[in-house]
Amino acid sequence: MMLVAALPVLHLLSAALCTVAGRAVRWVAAGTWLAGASVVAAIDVAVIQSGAIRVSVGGWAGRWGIELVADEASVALLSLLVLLHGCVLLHESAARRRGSFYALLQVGVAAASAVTVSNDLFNLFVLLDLLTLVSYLLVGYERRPQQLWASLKYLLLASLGMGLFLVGGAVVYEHTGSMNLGVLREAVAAAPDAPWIGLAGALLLAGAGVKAGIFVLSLWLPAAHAVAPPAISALLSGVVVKMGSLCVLRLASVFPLATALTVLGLVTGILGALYALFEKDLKRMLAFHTLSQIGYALLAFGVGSPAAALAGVAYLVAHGVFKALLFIGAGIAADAAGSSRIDVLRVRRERIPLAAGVALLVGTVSIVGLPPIAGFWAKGLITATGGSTFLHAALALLAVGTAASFAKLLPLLRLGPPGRVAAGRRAAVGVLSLGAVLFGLTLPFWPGSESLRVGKLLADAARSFGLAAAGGLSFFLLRRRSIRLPRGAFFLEEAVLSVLLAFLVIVALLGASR
Amino acid sequence: MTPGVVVAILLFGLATVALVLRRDLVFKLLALGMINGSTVLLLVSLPRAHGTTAPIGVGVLPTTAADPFPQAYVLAAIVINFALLALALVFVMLLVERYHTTDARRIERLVREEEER
Repeated sequence: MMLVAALPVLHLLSAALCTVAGRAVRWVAAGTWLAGASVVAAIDVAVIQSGAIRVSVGGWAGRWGIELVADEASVALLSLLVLLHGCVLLHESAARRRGSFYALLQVGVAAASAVTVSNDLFNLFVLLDLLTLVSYLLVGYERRPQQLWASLKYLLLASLGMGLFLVGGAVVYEHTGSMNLGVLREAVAAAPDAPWIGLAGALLLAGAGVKAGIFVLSLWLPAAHAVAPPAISALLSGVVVKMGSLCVLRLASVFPLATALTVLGLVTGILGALYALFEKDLKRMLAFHTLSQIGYALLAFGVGSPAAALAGVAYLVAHGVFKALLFIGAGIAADAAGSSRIDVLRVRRERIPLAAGVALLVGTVSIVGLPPIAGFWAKGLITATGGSTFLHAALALLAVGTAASFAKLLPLLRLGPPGRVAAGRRAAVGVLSLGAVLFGLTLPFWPGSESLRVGKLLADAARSFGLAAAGGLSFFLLRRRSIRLPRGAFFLEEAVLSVLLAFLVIVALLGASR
Repeated sequence: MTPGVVVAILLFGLATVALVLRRDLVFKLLALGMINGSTVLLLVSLPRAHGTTAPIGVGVLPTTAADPFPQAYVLAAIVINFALLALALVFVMLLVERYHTTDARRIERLVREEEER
């Protein structure tokens, strides 16, 4: 199955073509998308029918070569990538972007698709760096000073993170003679008490966590996701952060990270929701919610069973779809109202076009976890795959926080006049809304989702309405309070310190869980 | 632990301190370059990578040859780090054109003031 290796190559070739295609660049991009989507569909079918695909690039097997593995998590994120890539192309079709924009997009898609199938630490390092290199350029593409500064902070923090990651890789190499995850898994299983395992695990987790949207590690994220152009925010929150999370999942399958992931997930979820609750800017609030929703996935990864890990991946995919929808809706609403501040949007809500209304409505229902849209099923899947009472309480708390912070959008959730919205943007909203609903409706029939039973679903539905109501109530009680949470942590120097501090905490957690 | 490993760890630590304490963005980029350099040094001076003969040609003994894997790794890492550093310098140049300062705290404040307006 060389299809797995063909996908990044296809997009890289298309990137080269985009730079010379001139006016035909949109057709090149559309053609590449179509070809890429067919390849991903073929990989999806092959993996669902006959399990994980393993490819040794160049024919060198095992510890010597570069191994690509496409498993269930890979195909889930590949499918998400194809969907969001298509929606970004639709969204930007009216914007008359230059060839370089499309070329960057293709390089990003190539790197992301290669991340999903990477099975060794050094490949993950290179590809995550390539993916974020493209992200810096796309965040700063319009060269507004805020964008440049957010992008530079992103670059400095992510590079520090990748430095830690590479040091972790060096520790692994010294002790196993390979960076292959399969070799590493065997080495860890053979000597689970060796002291280097904790050190390597902490270095790698802290490094990958900077790109994965973990609150104390990814403090660059709110600024970068809030100031980027809407389609790019959708791509960053929908795909780029997810690739970091996938890397964390790969690490969790090797190292004993359960305790660390549970703690980080809880901190990320609660702090993200808290900052979102008191945030006054719509896009920045959505960015904080990317952090808080990553917390859900980390809690699922922390359970440690394969089923829970897949439930976490399902939540990553669901979140990718509806967060992209929310960012695109927020972009359209902000264009129409002239500002992305929530109070301004509320005053000018008559001007919010239908497409933005639909996007915000479907996205909010989904992220709060009400049936029958994606968020409900994915959250249900996490609770259905086990975990302690503590985990269930934590998930309930996060759901209340999410509902409370989205309650302030209620006045915006109206189906207004059609307005003047480009056809491509409407199409992107339509596709993503449909995607969120369809993903929700079909999830119970996917392999691995047997734990979702109809009898339990009624209880789940009742509970999610209850949690949403509790969230709404807590917003109502808090609505007069204007609390300014400390902003200092998002400065560059404090964010660097926070990364180092989080690394030490992870070392301690890994030491304690041994 | 070879001397190279010790130096690499010290360098990483020092550079991280500089990244936090130096307010000048150009110095921050230099610190980043040092971090990248220290990871490269660490990889090629791992005890496992020990050996001084080039690992190519006929008759090279595995006991005396350098391990080729870390060499390949650092080659990729150097290229990526170069690209990142060059891009970061471009961002700094554009920010200096706008704000006429390389002080990170001042730029942070100016950006925030513009945002709130």
